[in-house]
This record gives sequence, structure tokens and C-alpha cells, in this order.
Amino acid sequence: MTGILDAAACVPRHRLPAELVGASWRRTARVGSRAVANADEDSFTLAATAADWLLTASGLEVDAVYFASTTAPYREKLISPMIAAVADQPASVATADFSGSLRAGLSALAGAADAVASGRLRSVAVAAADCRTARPGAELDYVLGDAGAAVVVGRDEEAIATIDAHVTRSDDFLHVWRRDGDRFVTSGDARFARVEGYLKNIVPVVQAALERAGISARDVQHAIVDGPDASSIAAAAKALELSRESAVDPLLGSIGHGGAAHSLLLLTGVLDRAQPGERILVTGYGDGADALVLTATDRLASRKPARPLDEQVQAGIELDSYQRYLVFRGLVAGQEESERPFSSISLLRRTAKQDVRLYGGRCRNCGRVQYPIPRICRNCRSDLGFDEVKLERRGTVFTLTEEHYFPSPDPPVVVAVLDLEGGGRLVLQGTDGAARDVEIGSSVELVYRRHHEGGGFHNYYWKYRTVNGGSG
Amino acid sequence: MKTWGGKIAVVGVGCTRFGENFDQSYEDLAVEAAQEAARDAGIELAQIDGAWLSTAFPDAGVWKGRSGMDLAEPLALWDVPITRVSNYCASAGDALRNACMALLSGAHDCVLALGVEKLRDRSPQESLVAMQVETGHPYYQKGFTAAGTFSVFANRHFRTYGTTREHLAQISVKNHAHGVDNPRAQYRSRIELDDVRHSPMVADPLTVLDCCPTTDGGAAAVLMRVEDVPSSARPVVIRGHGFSVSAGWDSPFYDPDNDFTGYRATRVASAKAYEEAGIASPLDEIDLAEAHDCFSISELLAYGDLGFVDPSDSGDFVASGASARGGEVPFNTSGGLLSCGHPVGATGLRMVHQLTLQLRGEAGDMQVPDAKVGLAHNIGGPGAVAAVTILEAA
Repeated sequence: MTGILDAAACVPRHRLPAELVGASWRRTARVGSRAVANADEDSFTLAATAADWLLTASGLEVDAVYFASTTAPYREKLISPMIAAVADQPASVATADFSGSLRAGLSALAGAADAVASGRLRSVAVAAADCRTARPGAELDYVLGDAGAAVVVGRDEEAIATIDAHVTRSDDFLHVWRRDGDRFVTSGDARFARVEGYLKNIVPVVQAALERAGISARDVQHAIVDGPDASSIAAAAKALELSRESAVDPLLGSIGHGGAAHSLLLLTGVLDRAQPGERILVTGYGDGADALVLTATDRLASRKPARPLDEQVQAGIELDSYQRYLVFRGLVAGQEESERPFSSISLLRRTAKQDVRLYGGRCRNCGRVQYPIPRICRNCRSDLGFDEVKLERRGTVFTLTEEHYFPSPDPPVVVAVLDLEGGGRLVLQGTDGAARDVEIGSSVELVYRRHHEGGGFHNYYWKYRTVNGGSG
Repeated sequence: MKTWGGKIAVVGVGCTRFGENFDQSYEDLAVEAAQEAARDAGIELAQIDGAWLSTAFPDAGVWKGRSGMDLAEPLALWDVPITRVSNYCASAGDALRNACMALLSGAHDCVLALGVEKLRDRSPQESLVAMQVETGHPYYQKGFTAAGTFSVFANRHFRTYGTTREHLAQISVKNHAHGVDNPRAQYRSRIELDDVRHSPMVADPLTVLDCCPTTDGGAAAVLMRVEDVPSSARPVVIRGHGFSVSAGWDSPFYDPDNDFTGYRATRVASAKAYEEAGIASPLDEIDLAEAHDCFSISELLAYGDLGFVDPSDSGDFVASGASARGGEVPFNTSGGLLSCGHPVGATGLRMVHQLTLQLRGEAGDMQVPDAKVGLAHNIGGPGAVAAVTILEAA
């Protein structure tokens, strides 16, 4: 038997209000909003942040890291090793990416659970994220949300929730798709797809999962019913005779549909509030459907979620213009960064441990923690060398400035000198509204973000942002 | 052991008009500064037996200034050693130091220190801003422009000492007023406090008018040992000099001990210069200073670092008018970098040019009455390098 050891979601801070989309395209006003990735976020950073929150704080090492997304930032290059590096996992970790389908998150979860059940792996971190782009102004522009989530799958005796059943169905059905080379997600006839693609898969797969778990719909306390829209989800819940009380808010009106991460994201929210013994139904839809039945264990009672999903959903910064969203997604030219920022694969390789895993050095003579790690101590001039120390992801702003002439898609660039908890001082760019909300003395957290495109590849590095959600 | 002790004389100085010299090449600027310095010294260029060329950023434009060749060629100064010196914005101060060391060693008798920078074959954004966007470590300090690396000191100085944005604006207003009377300055118009406040923000709290512009220019000095100075010349004497590299490109920002209220390099270099010159109280013994005001904050930091006032009184020092012409110690009677502009490799020698005119009593409308002792303060990088030179009327 296998189970979930822990889970964390990562919801981008920015929200695109539906009202703004409507007004920008002269459509009838609608309520709600969706989470949108900042210009420096992508499916990798969202997944990596969720995984980092799960693994780094606990110091947990896993045997494998799986990534699931339909929008990986590389077409050719594995993302899971990048996540494993940020989350400071050893080289022995197994890595694999799952892609192509909105069910990819649950497919990765199934793969993880099978590997643990077989005894081949002891624990697997599954990190899923999506940043899907709709044609501006189209129906999906109100629906698609950017989000990430990570869960650790392991043996049931360590689990906060056991996986009691996992059933899957495959169906070659065109509901949403994106061809090679397409920029935007395409959706077919919604009413046809609801009946023929959605209900004909989701209903039987849930019924089969409940049967395999040996329970009925009425035994489910938390039902995560995945679906393309609220009315489809309601129709499925009704057909399945799930109780009204068990319905988990799909968050479509607050953060939107988080693609391959969505079901796992909703699961993190359920684990934030479920009680031991409660049954949880998790479903995923796309090219067929998946359904899982989980049971919360006694271990869940003592779990304190570090970053509850509710708080992240509520901590949004509303974009003040649709143009800002278009700049974030690169759909209109923003204040572009130079075309030739320097980068070097060999240079980055040499310092990967200190820059990706974020290690400093503690002088073997004077004990001063320094970053970047020098050869000779700048404090005591000793050449006894340095012991690597993992730096904290929290710190305080010592001084800062707003750079109005450094090119950025989201100007001004804010740059701060930070003193990290536990030692180490470094210079980082701010993000997610730091320009507005951070001053000397502010507490900040570090997040791994896309920095620039030097060298013709994505350059990622740490940035800082407010610890809480920031102001609106 | 004292090295300097008034043994070296500045025999002749030259300085081009500073500005957007679209009509002048790197070579034109070098030749103009060198010829003026030679004429001023009463020598032929061919008498120079060694030269030090200061250019900080040869790759920002015309690919000139990479080596001594780029001075030999335009001056046709063949068959003598010429060394290119590069120490960021303190390159000219370092060229001067190296030239003097060559005289003190006895290996040379008549040397040229020449700084030249040709920045405006590119737009300002494409030269110095682009340098920090396009080059350097892919991550470390990425996001800073030069202005930002000084702004983080300003914001910390505000927090520590209660210095204000107004104090910085007063420095800019003062130096722009001084620049009106300098025929070689890039900017020659007065500005008001509101102009500084309302000019576009560059790096909070510094606005465009808190920042020196992007400038072309050249400056030069001919130097000899005091005993070799021809009787026809009007020399000034180098009474003391201090030079220090006290930090690196990254270390100021990654050093947990840095309090961001001043520059150690300036404190070390000025202490050395004062020791060499026998100066105990700079405020009482120095008549005027050319300080490195690449940004308004850097002049303010210099008040404290050079020992004119306690750092906590730096704001009051400018507010009281002490550093204005007619004040106790006028700073930047030339207009400083804020008005003259900052052709990077030339600036330190432009300061020597200005002080030489002042100490000879030839500074025209800029003249400080009875100026006898002047200080040149030239910093480089993020305050990491400093050259402090004490000049005295002969």
C-alpha cells in the first residue's frame, strides 16, 4: 500500500480579473479571476517552488522526482532534474517528465505509487504545474489558471493519506488540444464534449474507483471532481450522487483551471483541512479520466501545512491592466531585456551548487558564512577553505533600490541587499510586487525564477518577494 | 616611509571640452589633450620618455584604448614604453600614480599621464547601461545599473544618519551652478531643487539630475621630478597621494559587515595621502577639492570618507553652503562629474587639470581666491578603488 506523505501547492500571486478580460474585449462583464504567472514564472518554477517548499524545509530526500505539465519550458530537455536540483536532491534521484495531457499529474502520481508499491522506490516527489495560454479574449481566457502543486508519494505507514484505489480510463477524444507550434490552447464544441468526452469518462471511472475501494459515493467526505467548467462538474457530481457537502470548490472562479496540476492542487487544499478517517475522491479529466480514493490517516492530525492553499488563493495581487498580462505572457513586446545578456553553461555548471541549491561557505577559520563562496576568506584572509552550508530561503532587506533603466518586462527592477536568516548576505532582484511592498527591514522569502535568456537558454536564479501575499 | 613628499611636479595640463563630441574620435581627443599639456609644459611631445594611458571601457565603443599602442599611434610617440591602465572610474588616478612612480624610480624623466574615453559613438543606454545588462556574471548583482550600486548606499545613509533626498539635490544644484563657469563642462546651466526632484527616476532615490551624463573627453598631465622642471614652467607640486583597492566588484554588496554609509577605499587612500602630505585637519588645511560626484550621493559620502566632517554631518555640510564656491571648502568648482560629464578614463586627470588651474590662479570665473592646497578624489567600481591626490601651489 502507498500513500501521500505531504503535499504543497504553489499559486502565482498575480490575478487577472475576469472583469478586466471582458472590458478589454468589450464583452459582457463576468465575475471572478484567474491566477496568472508573473513574467518570470513558468511551469518549471511553479513546480520547483512547490517541491522546494515540500522537500527543503523538511530536509527530505526522495528516490525520484517526477514532473507533469503540458507546458514545460523546454521542448527538448528534461525538467524533473531541474526541480531535483532546486530542491537539493542527490544525483541518485530518478527523474521523469509526464506531459501531453491534463491528466499528466495523476499519471505521474500513478507511476510514483506503482514504483513505491513495487518496492523499487521508497518515496517519489511528484511536481506538476501548468501555464497554459488562451487566445486573448477567447472563452478559455477566463478559465485557464496558472498553478503548481507537489506531493510526496511513499509507503502507507508514513502517509497522511493512503491511496486505496486508482482507476484510469483512456479515450482518444479531442476536447482541448494544442498542436505542435500552436501558441494557444484550442477547445472543441463545449456541449458535445461535456456529454461525449467528459461525462462518459468521468462517471464510469469514479464508479469503478469507488467500487475498487469498497465504498459508495455517500462515504466520500471530500470529492475533487475535475472538469472543464463548473456546470460540467456539477453534472458529473449529480450523476455520481456525490453529496453536496463533499463537493470541493474547484476554484475555477478564483484561480482558474490549473491544467495538469489542478487535481493535485485541490488535493493539497483538502489535506489542509481533512480529518483522519475521511475519504477523499480525486479525479482528473483529459484524454480519458483518472479517479483515486484516498483515506486520511491519523498522521494528518499532527500536520501543520506551511503554506495553506486557502491563504495562497486569497493572497492575490490584481493586475491593473490586461496589457500587463499580455506582457507577462510575451504576447506584446514589453520593455525587452537586452538581446545579448551574457551567460555560459560552463560558468553556471561550476557554481550550480551555490546558485541553484543555494549554498554558501562557512570559513573554517573565522566561521563567517559567505556567498558566493570565495577561495580565501574575505573576512579573516584565511585560506583554510570553506564548509558548504545550505542557506535559508528567508531574510531581511538591508538596503535596496528601484532600477528604472534596467530593462525588464515588469519595470522597475527592484534590487536588494539581503541578510539571510542563519547567515549570508547576497544581492537579489525582487518580484511579485516587491517594488511596492518591500523596504529596508522587510522580511522576505526567496523564490526561484526565470532571470533572463542569456546564452539562448532559460537562466533561472533566486529572487525575493514579500513573505505574505503583498497588497492588492 | 614617505614616498611623495613634494618630489613630483605637474608641469603641464591639458583637457578637451567634455561633452557629446560627435565631431571627435578617440584619437582626436587623445591628441588634443596631449598637445595642450605639452604646450602648457613648454615641451615637445617627443620629449616624453614614458606614458600611461587610462581608458576604462575600450570595448564600449571604438575598440580603442586596449593597450599603450592606442596612445602611441595618434601621438606618433614611438619607441617608448606606454602602458594602458584600467581601474574602472579611478583609471586616471592610477595612470597618474604609475607615471609618478616611474619618475620616483629614476627610470624616467618626463612622463605623460593621459586619460581618454570615447563613449558617445553609442547611445548612453547602449554603452554603460548595456555593459551591466549584457556583461558580468549572469546572476550576481544582475539588475543593478551603476546608479543603483550607489543608490543602495544613499538609502542606507538616509536610514542611518537622517540624510535626505534634499541634501542630494543640493549637491546637484551646487555642482550645476559651478559648471556654468567652466568652458569645458558638458552642462553649463543652473538647475533648481525642483528640477532634480522632478527629473525622471533612474534608481531610487537618484533621478537623472543626480547622475553624471555619458560623455566624451580627454585629459592629460605632463609630470617631472621637481628638480627637473624648466624655469619657464608654472608647476604645481604633488604633496601627497594615496591609492587603495579596498573591495571588489561584488564584495561591497555581499559583505555582511558593510554598513553602506561610506567607502573604505576612500578612507584608506585619503589617510595615506594626508600622511604623505602632513595634513592633520583636511577642513582647515585644504582649500578646495575635486571629489568624485558620479552621483550626488558619492560626493556626500566623500565629505565623511575624506574626513572633512563626521559622516552624520554630511547633509548639513552641503546644506550650510560649506562645499559651495565661497564656502569653507569648495567641492567641485569645475562643476564636477555632474556638470563636466564623466568620460570615465579621463575624469581623474580632468580633476588634476582643474586643480592645477586653480592653484596657479588661472581658473577664471571658477577661481577660488588664494587657493594653495587642493585635493583630487577619484573612485572606481562600486567605491572599491580610490585615488586621493594632494596638490599644492609651487
